[in-house]
Amino acid sequence: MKSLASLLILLLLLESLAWAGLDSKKAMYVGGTVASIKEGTEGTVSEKNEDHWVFHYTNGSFQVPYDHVNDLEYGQKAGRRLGVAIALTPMALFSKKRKHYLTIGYADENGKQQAAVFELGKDIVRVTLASLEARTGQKIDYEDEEARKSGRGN
Amino acid sequence: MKKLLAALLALLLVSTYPALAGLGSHSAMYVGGTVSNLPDKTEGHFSTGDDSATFKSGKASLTIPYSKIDSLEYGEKAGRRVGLSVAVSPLFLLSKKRRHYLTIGYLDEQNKQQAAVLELGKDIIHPALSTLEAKTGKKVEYQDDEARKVATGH
Repeated sequence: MKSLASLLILLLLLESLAWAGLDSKKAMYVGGTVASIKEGTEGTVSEKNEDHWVFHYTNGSFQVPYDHVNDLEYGQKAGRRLGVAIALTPMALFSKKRKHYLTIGYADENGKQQAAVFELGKDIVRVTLASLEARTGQKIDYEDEEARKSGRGN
Repeated sequence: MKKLLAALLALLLVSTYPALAGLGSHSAMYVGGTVSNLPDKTEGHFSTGDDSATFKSGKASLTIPYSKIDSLEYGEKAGRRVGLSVAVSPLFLLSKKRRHYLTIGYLDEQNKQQAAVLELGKDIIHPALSTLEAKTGKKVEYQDDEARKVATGH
């Protein structure tokens, strides 16, 4: 019974470690030309507003009017779960952890070109990309075929 | 005490895998998009009528006339059955669980572009895609060849 309990604890730990990183439903401002948001700020994104795309974070929100967006790019970075593999089980090497990046290019209120790069949690990629395409009328520029597949397959 | 601890851990472990419950094979879920009157992750049923496609849940519904649909995309997400492998048998790691996503692009009554991402149960994908293609005159854009094979059987 003790071994069963130990196994279950280990599995729980493994699972929680495997999910470490950005929450699957959240987004993070990675960087860009937006001075008002600190790099690495986490929050949530919303396309429910008909006029603005919104990134909500703890101390405020960042909004981009859809009709100011002139470029949408999606890319991803895939890596092995090395930390989990070393700490817990080599089996983790067989799975890949993907990070999803959305770059929004837009003209600010002064007509100056700006860019903001967001990391998207895996559960919001498909919805975010589809909604942005619909709202802005811009097509997503996928980094490569793998990114296109991942972005559409979620 | 040990039994109680083991039972508690088992319960916690199972509760971390909502995928165990999954979407019913005849059900559908509004995953997200630009539809303001439907909350994300709303479960319901998808049906195709003579003039329109409808997603209906207990609280709200979305009806899209075929004539207003301008894009159809299908993608899937395949993952290992980790939850079942832990809770029931490691053999479940050998099988894949697939989630099926249909993105419908359409014009609303104000002729504004909208997008709705639906997850479809595995038993309704093929008839839904076939019907939508026939009724809208639009071709479904598949994420890749594997998605086409899964959805159409060839």
